[in-house]
Amino acid sequence: MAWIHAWLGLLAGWILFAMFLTGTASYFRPEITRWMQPELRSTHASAEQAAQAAINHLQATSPGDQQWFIYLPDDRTGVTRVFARAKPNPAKPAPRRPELKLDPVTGQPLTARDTKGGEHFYRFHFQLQLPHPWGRWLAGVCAIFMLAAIISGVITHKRIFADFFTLRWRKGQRSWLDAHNASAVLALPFHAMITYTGLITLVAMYMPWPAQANFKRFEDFTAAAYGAPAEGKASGQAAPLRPVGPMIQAAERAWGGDPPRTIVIRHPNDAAATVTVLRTTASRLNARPDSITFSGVTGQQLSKSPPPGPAISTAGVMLGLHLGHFADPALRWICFLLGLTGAAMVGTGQVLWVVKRRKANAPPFFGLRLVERLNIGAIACLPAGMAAFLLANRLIPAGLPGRANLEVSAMFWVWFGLAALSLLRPARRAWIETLGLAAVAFATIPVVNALTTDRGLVASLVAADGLFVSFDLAMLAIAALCGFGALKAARQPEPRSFAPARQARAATPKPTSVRENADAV
Amino acid sequence: MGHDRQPRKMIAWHSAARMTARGLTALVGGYAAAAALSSLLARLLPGPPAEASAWGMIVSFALFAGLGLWAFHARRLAHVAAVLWGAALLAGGAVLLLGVRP
Amino acid sequence: MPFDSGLISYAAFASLALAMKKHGSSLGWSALPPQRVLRVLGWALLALSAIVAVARLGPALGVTAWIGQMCVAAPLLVLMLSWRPRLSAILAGVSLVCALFTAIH
Repeated sequence: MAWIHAWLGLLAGWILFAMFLTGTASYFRPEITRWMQPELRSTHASAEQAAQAAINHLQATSPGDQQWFIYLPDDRTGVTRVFARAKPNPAKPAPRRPELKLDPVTGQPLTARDTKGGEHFYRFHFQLQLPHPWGRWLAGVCAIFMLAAIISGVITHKRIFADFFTLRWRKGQRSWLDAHNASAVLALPFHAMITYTGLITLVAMYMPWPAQANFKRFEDFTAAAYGAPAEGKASGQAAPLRPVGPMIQAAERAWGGDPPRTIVIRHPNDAAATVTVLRTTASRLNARPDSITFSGVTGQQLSKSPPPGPAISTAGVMLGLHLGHFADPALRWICFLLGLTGAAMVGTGQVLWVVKRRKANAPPFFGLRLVERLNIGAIACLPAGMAAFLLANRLIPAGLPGRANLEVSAMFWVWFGLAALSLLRPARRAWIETLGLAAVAFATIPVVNALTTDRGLVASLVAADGLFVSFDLAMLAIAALCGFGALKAARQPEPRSFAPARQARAATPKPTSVRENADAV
Repeated sequence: MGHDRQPRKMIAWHSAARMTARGLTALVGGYAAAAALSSLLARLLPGPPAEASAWGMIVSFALFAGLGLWAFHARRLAHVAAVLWGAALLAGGAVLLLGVRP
Repeated sequence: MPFDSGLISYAAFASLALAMKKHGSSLGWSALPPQRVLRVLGWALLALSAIVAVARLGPALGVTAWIGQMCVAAPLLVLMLSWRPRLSAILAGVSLVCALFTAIH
């Protein structure tokens, strides 16, 4: 069982580390997006106000659309987002229009630097920047490996209670094992929960078969579980769209005061128009929103989503636990810390694998060197890449076309470029230097922010801008964490070199000398 | 000293091949068995069909992980393959024969 | 979100840790309560932390917050225990007092 735990962890660990870091960052997805568009200032508007303002804008610009999605602002996003789908025209297929950000009060489009924002980390977390569906499948394989690794880890850990509080520093392999055990066992409920619920978030893709045992098509299952979507055809008859304010108020009354988070309007300005109001998910664990559908012309309630049974509720709660929308800021920071603990669990496991197999009196075998280099690339170089993404946001000119993709490229160029460069350095130095670079990169973010925007740390403190202040402080804390890692790596004793004695630079085993030693064995 | 390196290498490859075979059986066979068994569960559980399907989907991953780990714990690979693929075929066959819930 | 559940579970874990010979002896204090007392106290405090969380936040959110805060308190205790065992024990008392304050409010 210990053997299988090590293999499962090793093979999936590099990707799992990246999933943990980007997933942990995604707890603050809207906050990161707001930080990356410093031109925008959040304004507050009531749901009715924001919805009607958005609709007025859409009426003015594209009244003949097939569907309007209005994502209402909340205290985290601060802006209204709209997405409009044009009527399908077989003669001239319309390109997919991008999402727009609107002012919540006026409904006017907001101009800010184009960026993917927190969406980038979020999407990478489960798509791994690979084309659909390969990214999600790979993420799923890693997730099931993680689940099996958790189970086998618990089974294999004989002294799990006796060792519960054990953490010994500066004892080499034993310290790494203690660190791995501590980060894994002490937060075990979180790790098990996040892994299982993560699989559940994409269960429709990974395991649709139980649904198809009972329903001819998967859509029939979702209709039975969540209520059929109001997919009517347009009647072709024009009719004005009623103001949505009263519909929102009726929905809020039905939901005991909970505000809506999304409005979906089908066939606006048509006699068959429908307005679906979706409930906020920030107040409860179940992340599946209830919905009520009204007629867009008469304002009458047409249908509402069925109350979920125990199984559907369980799935909804599992989704909610993974997304963490229910968490208030304090609990959200706790989730963030727990996510970092998960990354620590994976990272210490990867390092432990190497440390355990490194022998003092034999040169490292090829697999060991490969794993160690992959560890450096996957664990030490990714943080610098993520910092580069944030730095690129401030350094790339705001008006440059295609800048959103440039920011994303920055992350991958720095991550993989640093990983490639690290191959030129001996392993121990590579750890120190890459982690040190990450520390410098993160520490630079508040500085660059102050130099390129008017929302630096001092200005934000004066303006009591909680988000920008905590962002800068978090960057400094992460820099300190990376610096701590670099310092710890520097304190490790220099590993014994297997180069011939006359080499002056003892730290770098030259390739030829390793081959000579291998032949001698 | 150099003579017996050849047989050692072959043993290493042979055992690596066996481990890979067991890994693939665990991954693919385990997935098939978990999918088939959870589908059968969904088909047979009384109550609203959407609920039964949801329960099946929820437990499927625990089933997959458990079967996959067992695949490495059991001694003989032939035994493991027989159980996993047998379960997949029997349960899957039963689901197909029963057909979609009326 | 109230943190008293997490403060109490920190004290609970400290008590459970000190009940073990290898950690209790690292304090170098002669007047430590007997192991059984510390162990019972630890479990009792853990139960109390669950009750406090559920009482404050309701069953679903309460259990979630209880587990989440516990999962942060435990590593914090382990880090402190490995770095400065006496300080970690003193902090356990401090966190209990703080929890009492927030409970009274």
